[in-house]
Amino acid sequence: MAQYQAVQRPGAEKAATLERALRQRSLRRRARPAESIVRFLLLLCGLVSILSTIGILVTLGENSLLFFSQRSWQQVKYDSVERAVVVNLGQEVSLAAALDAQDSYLSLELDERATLPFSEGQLIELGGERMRVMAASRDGLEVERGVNASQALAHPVGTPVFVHSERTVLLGADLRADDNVIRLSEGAASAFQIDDLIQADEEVMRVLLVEPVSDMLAVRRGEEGSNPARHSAGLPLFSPSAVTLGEFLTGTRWNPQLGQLGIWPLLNATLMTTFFALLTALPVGLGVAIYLSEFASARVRSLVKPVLELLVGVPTVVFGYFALTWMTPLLQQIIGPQVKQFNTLSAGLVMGIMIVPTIASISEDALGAVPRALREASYALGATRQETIRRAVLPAAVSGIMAAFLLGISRAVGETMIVALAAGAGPNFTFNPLEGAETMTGHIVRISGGDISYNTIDYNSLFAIGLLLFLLTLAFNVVSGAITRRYREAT
Amino acid sequence: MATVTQQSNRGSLTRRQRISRLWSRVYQACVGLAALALVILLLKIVDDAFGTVAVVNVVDPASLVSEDGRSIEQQNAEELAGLARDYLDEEGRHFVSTDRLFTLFLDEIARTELAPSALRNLTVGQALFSGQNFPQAWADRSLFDLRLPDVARAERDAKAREDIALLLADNVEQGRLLELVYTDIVQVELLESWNLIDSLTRQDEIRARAARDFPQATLEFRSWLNADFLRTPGSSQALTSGIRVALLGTLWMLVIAIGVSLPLGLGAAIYLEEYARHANDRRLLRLLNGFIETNIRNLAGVPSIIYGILGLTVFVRAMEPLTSGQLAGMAGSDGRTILSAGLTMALLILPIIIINAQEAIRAVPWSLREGSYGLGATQLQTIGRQVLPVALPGMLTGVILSVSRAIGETAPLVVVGAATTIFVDPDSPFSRFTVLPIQIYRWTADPREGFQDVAAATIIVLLLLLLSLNASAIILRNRYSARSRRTL
Repeated sequence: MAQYQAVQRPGAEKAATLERALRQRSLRRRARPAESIVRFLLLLCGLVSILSTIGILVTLGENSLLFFSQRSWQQVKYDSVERAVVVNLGQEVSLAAALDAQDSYLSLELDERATLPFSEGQLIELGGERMRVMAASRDGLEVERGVNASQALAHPVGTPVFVHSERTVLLGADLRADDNVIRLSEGAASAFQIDDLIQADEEVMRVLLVEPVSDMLAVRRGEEGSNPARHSAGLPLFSPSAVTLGEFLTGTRWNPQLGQLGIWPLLNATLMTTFFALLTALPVGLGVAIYLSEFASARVRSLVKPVLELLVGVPTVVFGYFALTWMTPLLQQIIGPQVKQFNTLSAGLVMGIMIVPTIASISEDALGAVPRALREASYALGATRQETIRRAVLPAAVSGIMAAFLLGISRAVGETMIVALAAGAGPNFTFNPLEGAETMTGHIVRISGGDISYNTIDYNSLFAIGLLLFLLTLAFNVVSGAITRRYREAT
Repeated sequence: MATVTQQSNRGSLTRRQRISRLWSRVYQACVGLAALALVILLLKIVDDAFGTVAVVNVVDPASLVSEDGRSIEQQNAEELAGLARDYLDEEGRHFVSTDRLFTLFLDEIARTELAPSALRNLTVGQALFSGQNFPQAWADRSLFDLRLPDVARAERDAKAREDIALLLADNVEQGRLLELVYTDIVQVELLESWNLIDSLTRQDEIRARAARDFPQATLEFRSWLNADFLRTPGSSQALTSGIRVALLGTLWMLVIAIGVSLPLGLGAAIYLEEYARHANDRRLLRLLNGFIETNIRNLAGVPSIIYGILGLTVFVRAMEPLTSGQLAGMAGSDGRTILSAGLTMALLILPIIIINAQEAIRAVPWSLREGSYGLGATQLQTIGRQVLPVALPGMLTGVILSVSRAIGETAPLVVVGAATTIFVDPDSPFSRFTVLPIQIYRWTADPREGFQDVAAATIIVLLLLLLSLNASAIILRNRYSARSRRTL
């Protein structure tokens, strides 16, 4: 338009008419329904990818929210202290020899046939002192003295041994529908506080008063829309527990069935495999990149490139097979039998092999983008080839190498099949790379690979893990992509 | 400070050059290491896929000859059914098990497409066995009853045993029965398997060990990868396991995934390259286009297992009526079907297809478009007649690459499809499925003797498939670049 107006001269009405006619006939302005429709359809195709992202975000977000707001009912437990009794013989356990305040070995004399009432990690009590059992046998116990804020004392022969155990809170007596006082099993009232919610069968109650001496609770019946009903003695009581974000992000135990939902065992395993993967892939990948960009002739490159491409093309499940059937036995031969059949080291190393091509190709791009002048200047100053690489080329390419490093992390974190096969099944919070530990991805595969029922805490927890995984990899990808783009633009 | 650095830097020239040479060896070693890893990986697979095995027959076929001395191959259906009857789940050993008979009834007699769970309510007389010979007493029982009381009772009840033998003899072909006798009665049992290198280098040791540990066993050289391996479905025995169902599952899944993502992907790429670059678009549209572009790059980096979770929620659960086949009038059990798997995979490869196609379109010289416009062609005509034909080979290369990604991808399919081993060929998009990589995963994780060898054989098939796909992509690329050099 602007152009037409610019050429319009005073008195040139003829030209204006001509222009109008032209505009009517203009090819560009003629309506083309077919073109518009096609264009619209193609736009829709592009929008599908956005749908896919929205799908991922909504799915993960919605179910994670469900996970964090879901209230699961767990049986109420309380700590009870009882005389240690050998169950099959009915014999009460007491000290067989006097125990000094410093002794860590507590001798017992138990019958040959006795089944031990003690287990590792159990809390026991002697004359007011609490100890933790480290190892148990019929002749005695290896204990840690004076735990749980108690003091190590000397105990004479024959002191009775008590054991602490977790017991489920049960209804102590039948409860009528109009009753407002609950009688609990002995000693169980300590497990409750005022304003707690209790679930018995379908009914929810709120605690109004706790009477610890007589083990009774005053409650308001039929809370949260439930109906007061009759309950008989011996019914287990449940209390609600909801996962908080803080608990999820800081907890070190993962066992949804027990309401333990700390991500760290899984996250830690992921970090360990990622660490070993990058420990392998970064030096090797960088070495390959330097060789290809600084040393290799065209002929060598044409030989090496296909090898890398082949490595990229191998499905990850094949690497998983490799880790389990080759790398693990190899490690067992080299390091010894303390290497478990499933371990994070083996998974990490093989994952490293998998990531080498990724790191190599991006680093090579970065090295190739370093201007030739820089190298020539370095040579001109008398530097050897290696000095040039170390002092001139690598520092100039460091951002690109960083991008490769981040992308490598992202791939290692999201990698699934290698860890599902070789890293072990079962969350395990350990820093020992020779032991098995389940990673986030491995956990998702194992849980969803079985027959899971929907809307359980197990099922919903997958989405919380998935969301964390998604955010982690997205962050690494975005930063890595931004760096790559910057140096691509720079060259 | 400066002098110290200079001092240490100076050294002798020969020393510095020696260090430089040393480092160049280190870089070479890195390349060697990568290549070595690939070689060891391939060797390990071949090593496992072939080797000596010690096998033994649970029942000697010689003891199964008929009274007039004919071997089992020569016996007719009636006699074979008799054998099946005699060996019906004998005490202590599993010969022909009740479960096995139940499946055989379903496959061979009922010839039904329904899932076992849907069969519970139907009676034997209703449609299922209609037109077939079956004991009249069974007509009113539900088919599910066959599995539990009737077949189980048959172990003790002579009359029921006769009924079953008749049912088999009348309805099942001789070949199928012979197979049953071989797999369930004769039962070749794998005692131990050695890998290829050991089989070649330590033959005597293996022989001595086999003679000591399993005196009745025969030693034979076995290629786990063989024609039967491709033809038979999976099995609970390593020796009889095959990948037929997995191969078919992979093909079905690919057809659906490509069928969905190819048009979408190419469409999106054309839009982004040919239309979205117009500067005179409205601002909102420009923003949208930029967003689509970034979004696709980010989608390409999402871990595949996240797509699995997406598929599980959207396709398996939310769209269950569609993906289980209820809308199509099939009484499927749940949404864990090939269709769900294919759609999930389609989403996964969509960004790859788009990015590759975009690159192919971008490589088309701008002059071509201008020439076309100059001759008065519209934009659509230009795209359809000039741009696409030139970009097509490049686009196809991208498609082939994404197909090879789809073939090897495991995690999302485990999440979507999951669960049990499948012995029945998939015959519709609503069948339950397994694919090659899932089988590799299952068999690798299976601790029983021989299954890792089966996994190795499957890996070879998978790698050959991938290799041929990649080779065709490379050939296509080379031909394309040669031709474009000629024409341009």
